[in-house]
Amino acid sequence: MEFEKKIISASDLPIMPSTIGTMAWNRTGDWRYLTPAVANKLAPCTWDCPAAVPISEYLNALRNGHVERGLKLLLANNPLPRLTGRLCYHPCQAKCVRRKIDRAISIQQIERFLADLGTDVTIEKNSKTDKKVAVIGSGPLGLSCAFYLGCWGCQVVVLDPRDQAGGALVDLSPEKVDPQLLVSEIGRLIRLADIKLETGVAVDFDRPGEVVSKADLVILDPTGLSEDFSVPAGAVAFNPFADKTVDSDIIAAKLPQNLKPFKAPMIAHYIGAGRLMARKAFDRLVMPSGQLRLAAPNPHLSRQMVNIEDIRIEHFLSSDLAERAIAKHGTWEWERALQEAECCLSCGTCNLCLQCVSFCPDASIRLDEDETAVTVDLDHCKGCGICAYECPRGVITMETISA
Amino acid sequence: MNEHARRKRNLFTPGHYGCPGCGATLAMRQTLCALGEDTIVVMPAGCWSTLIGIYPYTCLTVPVVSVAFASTAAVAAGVKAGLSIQGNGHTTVLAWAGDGGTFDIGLQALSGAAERNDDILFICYDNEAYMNTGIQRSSATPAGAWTTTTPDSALKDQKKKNIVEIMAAHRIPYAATVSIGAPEDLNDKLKKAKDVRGSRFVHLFAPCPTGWGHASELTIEVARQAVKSRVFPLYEVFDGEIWQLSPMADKIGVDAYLKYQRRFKKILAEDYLHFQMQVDEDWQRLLNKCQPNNSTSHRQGVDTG
Amino acid sequence: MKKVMMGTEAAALGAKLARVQVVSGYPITPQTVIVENLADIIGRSELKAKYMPVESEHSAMASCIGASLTGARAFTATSSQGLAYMHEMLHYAAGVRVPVVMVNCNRALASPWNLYCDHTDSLAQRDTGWGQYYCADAQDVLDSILIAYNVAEQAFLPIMINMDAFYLTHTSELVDVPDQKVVDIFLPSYQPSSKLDVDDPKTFGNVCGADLFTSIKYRRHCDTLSLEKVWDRAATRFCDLFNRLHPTVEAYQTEDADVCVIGIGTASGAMRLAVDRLREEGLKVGSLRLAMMRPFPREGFEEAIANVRHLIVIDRDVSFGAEGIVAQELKAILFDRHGDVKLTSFIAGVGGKDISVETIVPMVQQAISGAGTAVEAGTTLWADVLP
Repeated sequence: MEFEKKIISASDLPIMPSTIGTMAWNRTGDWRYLTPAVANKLAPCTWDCPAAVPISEYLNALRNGHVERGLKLLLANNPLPRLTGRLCYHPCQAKCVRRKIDRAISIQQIERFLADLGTDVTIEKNSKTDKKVAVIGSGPLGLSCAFYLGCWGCQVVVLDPRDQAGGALVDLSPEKVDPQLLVSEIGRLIRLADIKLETGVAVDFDRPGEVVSKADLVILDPTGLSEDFSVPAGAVAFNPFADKTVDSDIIAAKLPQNLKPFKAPMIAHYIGAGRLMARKAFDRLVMPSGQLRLAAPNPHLSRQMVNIEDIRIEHFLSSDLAERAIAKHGTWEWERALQEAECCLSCGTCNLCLQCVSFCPDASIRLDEDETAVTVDLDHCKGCGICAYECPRGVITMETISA
Repeated sequence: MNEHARRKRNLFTPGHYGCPGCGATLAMRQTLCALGEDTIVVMPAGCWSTLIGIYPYTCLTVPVVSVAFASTAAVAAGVKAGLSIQGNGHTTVLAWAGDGGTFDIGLQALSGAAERNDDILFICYDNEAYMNTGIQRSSATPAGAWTTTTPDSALKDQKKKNIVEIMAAHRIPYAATVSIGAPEDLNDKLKKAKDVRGSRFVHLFAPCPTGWGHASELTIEVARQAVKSRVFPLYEVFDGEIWQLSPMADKIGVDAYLKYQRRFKKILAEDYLHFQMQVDEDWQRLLNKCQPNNSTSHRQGVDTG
Repeated sequence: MKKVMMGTEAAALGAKLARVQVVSGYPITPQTVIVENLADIIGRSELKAKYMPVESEHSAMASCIGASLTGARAFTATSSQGLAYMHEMLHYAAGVRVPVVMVNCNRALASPWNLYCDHTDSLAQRDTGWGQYYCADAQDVLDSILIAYNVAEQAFLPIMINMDAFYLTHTSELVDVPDQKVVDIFLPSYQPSSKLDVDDPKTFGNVCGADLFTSIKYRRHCDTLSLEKVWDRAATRFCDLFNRLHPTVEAYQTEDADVCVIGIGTASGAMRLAVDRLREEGLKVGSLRLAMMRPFPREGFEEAIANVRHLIVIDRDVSFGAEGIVAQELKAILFDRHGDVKLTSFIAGVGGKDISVETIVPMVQQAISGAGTAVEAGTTLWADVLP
């Protein structure tokens, strides 16, 4: 934005009373009492997801045709999507705001479809440090914990006494989970996080093997181990949901009552627990949190949930909504998945619909040059509040911001 | 301005003096978006002539001439005549007047231009009163609305003048109503109007938070409710004879529209059913004029050269 | 090529020779022949122009302004009521600096209705900032339109060419119609550097603050004052090409005159005859026709009456409650010579009453001796009042 100096001399004036410049120098931003704050907030689906998957973000990526970006978002935030896409009790769908129009988005179906695509993607990871972690038990919690620690830069080895990895997942019936699928999904997790898995290894703490003795931290996963597994002396119980810091080199995950015994539909809870555990374990291993790029979990986890009142249902009712195809079972084709993704209201997440931009009477909220977000021109925004009111997905709120 | 800067510029720039939430400024912005840079604007006294900016600065980067109140259509016709005699038949001449400059003092010149079928696009941005001078009533003010010259002690009796009926009676090739609350409809109609040759008239509904007494963030919402309640229905008239409704959301009651606006406080408290009845009657009259819903039943205006 | 024609026909021809591009026409007696003839001229493609049959004079001026702002040469004509109706737009045109030329047929203003010659209509517009020129004959009408465009387009100010109702509009005279090719040399096409142009977008005439407004008005005032010199130069060039003079003042036998009769318009012809008659009787009298009234042609005027001691002004107009407008203007110019020069102000010929030798001679005698039939009212003497 260029600001032109006010003219100071009559000789600057043309003969005819015609103008010489724009009004950009006039800082109408000074008129403002409230300022629009453009900030993505968590959609109700994401807020309630026990695994903290950024659902509206990957749906937006799909909708815009960026399949790989969507898949990466998913895989970076859900180590076992082919499983959750089949087993999870999908609390996300129960909260989907689209229910107020017709039906909830079939999020689980989309997740399954996306996860099944099996494309050879990689995800962003920190480079490996010298920190070593041994995870004993390859149930969903252990695998998840191992996955995140591996992504964040630890050298992780997962050990399981059984011949098959998966822990309690192995005991599920083939109708629930195809054994081949389980193997390939765990294989993908191992590859993506660049960690190691050793099955058929019974761990004896009196005679620990090389992996366990060299580990800086040992984590025991109850979902991967049988009930009668003996917790070694010196191992500290750690509740991922409640306990704040890891105070020992050997910790045994201790789950709350509602997660015992293992319940397949609650798989996302275990995955989420694994992530929480990994976070706190990582804090112990690598002290300053700013040291590594991925140290902070995805920024979306620190956001507020969107205010449901700010989702403008009428806007969606009057706009062209794609025809909904109902598919409850089986895998989808690309068109169906895309259609369904397009029906997502993108609650709290800016999807560049540009309603705010087109309704601003002062042209003071604009699409960025790199076209990824909108920003407010604070020099000129008068704070009328139209952008906040008109944003159909509650991304913009009016705030009192001191100079 | 060099060629590069000229092509990259925005036609509407910030820093103008419009009230926060001003419907009229948004109206111009949406209009220029539809019409593009090959446009010359003729505007009379009114909100726009003051909010555009203080001389020698302006917030619009298309040519504009700010003219005397009654003369908009005549100056616009003159601009068009001047352009065409010099061989320019493509530039859109946009006459941009408020309701005062269209319904009242500007009506004679507008009628004259329409009778001559002068090749101008006349858009009336209607905020239903003389807002620039401090909210005085015009013939576009609806019955029952508060203004400073129709205070609560003397609310306006007379109904809003039906300007589109007047323009249709001139048998101009194209007339339409649009609202800032229906931007796609506005964009489509203005793009259509741009290509019609002859006199075109567009009645543009532009709420005014200052004059109507609604919150500044509700400008678009009020415009939307006006369409839904059929206080301001959307339609087109071709050659003054074929009336065609535009797609609108289902009809709702007027209270959804009236409730936001302090200027209707007295009506809401006392007797808005009368208001509702008037709206229903006018709506029925419009329906009677319209063809059965058929998107292929309209014709383009004939090029009168 | 010489032809017999009325003044209005000459005006239409003047506009045609000037190659005007946009003509706005609204009829009013006695201007009608101008708009009628131009409609036909344009209709038969003898002139490449847009004819706009507007619905009022206010719109006539408005459309001329619009056309001129796009760089087209614009023309219109009107009279009395029409001129008054477009008053607002006259101010506007001068303010936005468009070189529109308009022919005004001087006619009385209602109420009551009167269609005949009277100068109040245009003189009442003298504050609008338009150049004002008053024609002596039909040739003057045609020629002055050409000079006016030349001057207006240099100074970026509009100019009004005035002609007397019926004495000029409907009286046939011999007019030498210039050759279009020579006119084109004198008056090239209008090419303003600043106009409504999508390739160079500007806003014209938006709201202006007090300090800038003052400077703008100051510049405009200076430019308006300069019209006298610009006209002189253009008239000189015109004379080089067409061998006809159109000065801003036309003096007749004033060099040795003690007394001078002053007026504007066609009555000047009768004034010259009256001067001849009075000189025969031994009076050292001369006459002066003011062709330009705005800006007031100060230099030409002062030179012409350098030795005159008594000015007798015959106003075909009146500023009610004050006096004759021309007299008032002269008194202002002569302020520094107050006490040195006597000025007698007559109101005569309003509403079309003839000003002839028979009426002028008694006025001069009354001015000198104090005895006569003109009735006193304030500082004016009114001829023609019924007993």
